[in-house]
Amino acid sequence: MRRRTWLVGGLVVALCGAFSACVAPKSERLSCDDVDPASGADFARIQALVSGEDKGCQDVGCHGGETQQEGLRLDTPDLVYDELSSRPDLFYGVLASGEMPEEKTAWSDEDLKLFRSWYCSGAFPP
Amino acid sequence: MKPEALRSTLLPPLRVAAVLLGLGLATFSSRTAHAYPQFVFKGYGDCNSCHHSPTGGGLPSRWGLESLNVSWGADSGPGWGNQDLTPDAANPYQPKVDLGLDVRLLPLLGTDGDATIGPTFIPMLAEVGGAVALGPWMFYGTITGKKQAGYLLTSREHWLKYQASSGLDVRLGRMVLPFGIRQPDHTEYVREDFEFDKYDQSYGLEVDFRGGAWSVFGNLFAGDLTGRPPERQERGAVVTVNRELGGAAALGISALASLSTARSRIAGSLFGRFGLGSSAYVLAEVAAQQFAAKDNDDTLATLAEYLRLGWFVRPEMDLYVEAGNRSYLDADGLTKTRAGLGLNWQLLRWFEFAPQLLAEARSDLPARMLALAQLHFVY
Repeated sequence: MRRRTWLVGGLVVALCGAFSACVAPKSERLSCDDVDPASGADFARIQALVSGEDKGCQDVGCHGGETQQEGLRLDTPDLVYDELSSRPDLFYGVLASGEMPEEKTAWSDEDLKLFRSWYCSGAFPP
Repeated sequence: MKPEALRSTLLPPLRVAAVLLGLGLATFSSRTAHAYPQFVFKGYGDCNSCHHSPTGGGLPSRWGLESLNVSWGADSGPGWGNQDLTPDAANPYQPKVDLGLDVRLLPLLGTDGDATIGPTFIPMLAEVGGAVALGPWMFYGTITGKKQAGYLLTSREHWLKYQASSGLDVRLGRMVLPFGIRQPDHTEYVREDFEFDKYDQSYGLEVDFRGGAWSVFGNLFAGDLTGRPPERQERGAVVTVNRELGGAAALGISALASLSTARSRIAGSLFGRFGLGSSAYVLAEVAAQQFAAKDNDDTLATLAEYLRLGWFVRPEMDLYVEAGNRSYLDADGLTKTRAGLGLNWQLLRWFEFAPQLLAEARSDLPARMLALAQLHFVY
């Protein structure tokens, strides 16, 4: 029984160490600092970004109907709302860090502000 | 949405739920839930029998783990670090500790029209934690790695419980709000789309009452305080009332009202659990919620239904079919529908294998087929 206790304790320490080493910086966490709810809350503008060629993510190799990396599909406006509204912090994090969109133009500060404004005004559909 | 449209959308699932409730009432057996612990563990009877939390979910207690039916594995007795937290009559203030972990890994493969999804591997959950008891007091806490850009270390639950009497607890801290069916499967729409998903816990003050055939869980909550921005912190109240019916069936109702800087929210759920004979069961739920913006006329109303029919082929093997649907009533009828065939197989006391074939359709898109195989380690 004592072995089990040590096993669990060791796992706690190992996991804490592993996760503490790679905590996301504050700039990649979804916040309501610097938002513009009055003019920036329209989700249609975010859908246009996600669907666009420059900063979008539905080309071959990404999240279109033919590829669906990680099981994620973002090739219709409805799907974009469905996915982003259900996991906004995850999407904001990968966009703000530049991790996504892969091999495309990273979202600008204004783009990220648009995302924050939509989220902070209630994350309603367009 | 016009009243006629709302009525035509709401009535069909409500009729289905009414028929299900009637069938369940007519067919449930008189067997007590506690005569078959696997049923209790899978959602029947008193969830607190097997979990530290009075409302169920989270790490299982020693009794819960020891009561599992398993295919292989010898019994093990309690010791330091994994003790039964029930106070000893002779020495009620002797401290007791129960540590545990919950890890869920999900290999996935699927097709969507001409596209192939995966094979991919999703680390669903990696959580460690435990409970410490001292007389009528108990502290429960967990630490979880949350994927964001990199990983965050977060604590989904940490609360202090005072047991005022047998069946009456008061809790303070961060916890899962009591709403609807407490299903372990996160794929259920009522949990996922009503913001009771994996990381949707709130700080709150909760009273948990379980007496006779009734259980009542009431919670005043103030949001998660550290996770979401302050503008999206929801403050409000939620209450769930359960009524056991003859031991193998239960009906429940939940209601929630909350407010944040950005929006208000009301939600309700009607749910039931019914035993069918000695080894089968039905779970059913119909729930609705509405968000309304505070600064304009934006609204978002959601309706979700869930139905599951399960059969314990063996005491440790739950074979089930389930279906769920979710509709955004104010967003051009955006819907998601899922239907699945799966197995929850408790192979070892610390390992559950849960394969599932899942069909999922969204709005006007063709259905996609997924093959999942959840590997669930629990201690």
